[in-house]
Amino acid sequence: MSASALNRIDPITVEVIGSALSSIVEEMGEALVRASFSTNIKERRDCSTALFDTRGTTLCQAEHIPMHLGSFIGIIPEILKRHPAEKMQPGDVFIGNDAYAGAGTHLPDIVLGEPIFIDGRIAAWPVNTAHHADFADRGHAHIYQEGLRIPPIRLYRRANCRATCRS
Amino acid sequence: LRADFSATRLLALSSPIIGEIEAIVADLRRRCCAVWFADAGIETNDRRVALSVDMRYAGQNYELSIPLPTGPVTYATIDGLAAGFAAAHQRLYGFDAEDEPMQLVTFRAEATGIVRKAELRPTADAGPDARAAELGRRNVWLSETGAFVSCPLYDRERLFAGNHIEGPAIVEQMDATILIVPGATATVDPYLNLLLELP
Repeated sequence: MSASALNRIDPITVEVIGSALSSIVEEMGEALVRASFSTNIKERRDCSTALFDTRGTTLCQAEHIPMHLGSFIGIIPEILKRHPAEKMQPGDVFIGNDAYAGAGTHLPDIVLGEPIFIDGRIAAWPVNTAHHADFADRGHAHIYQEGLRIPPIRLYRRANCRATCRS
Repeated sequence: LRADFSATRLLALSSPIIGEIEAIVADLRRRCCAVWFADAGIETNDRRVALSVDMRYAGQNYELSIPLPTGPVTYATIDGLAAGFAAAHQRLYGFDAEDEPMQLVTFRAEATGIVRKAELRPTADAGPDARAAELGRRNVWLSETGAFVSCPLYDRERLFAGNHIEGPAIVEQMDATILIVPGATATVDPYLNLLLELP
């Protein structure tokens, strides 16, 4: 961006929009913790929430777990690589935990992302990650000992959990 | 006038607990009515009791407060609590977990007594002379004078409407100490507020 374009951005507008995005991800995190059943989330709060734009760039991530900062930065581009955006529908939810496919730094951190539709078009992606307890962990010699490795797949289709993912 | 009462009982939401809910509600009502309203002198017609239950899905750590359906405790009460919790969960978190067992954690009663608003009456003017409230004098170091000065001390309880004090002075009261700096003046208004005018 050129210096003159930067000068045209009103710092107050930037602050207002930035704070609105921050409050959205903070609220997402609060809902995640308060509604959760897992001790690791409801007590330890080992989870993080963020908003991404349609290209998969992070807009905002809440100040929950510093280690999660940027840990799922590649998740939306990895989802978009495998699932064309034009075939997505409201209520679709994507899941992944593979560090080699944009999600997390270890397999217990499971990442969920859902496109938000406004007037029939994807406007943004809310994303969360949560450290699941009792997630295999038979050692750390290689990734297969850590647990189930989930590539970015579609877990929900139009708000219905897909039977093929469950079984 | 309001007071809050609570009873914590961890119960699974199901029909066999109707008797238990009845007993808890009866105990909360007794604590509100026979004890608190009676002590506070609230007449029967001026008594209100609102009952609610803190509920969660079994396994959660955070409860949502759900109003207890009015009337006698029946199967409809259980259904009403379940529907109320599902609706509150949906409203707050955007979803509800169908078929997940629900728990009752804490029963709460909010007892409200309707009372007349306190009347504020202006008091009679006692004139500007505040000497009757003087407690003595004390040497006080003030940044305005850069040295110790002898300050009169006043008792707030003995200051009356119209009394006038010139700074420097100190007013003592049960819960605060008021410093009137040099050049400032304090006047007591008809409602016994101390109005300070700064130089």
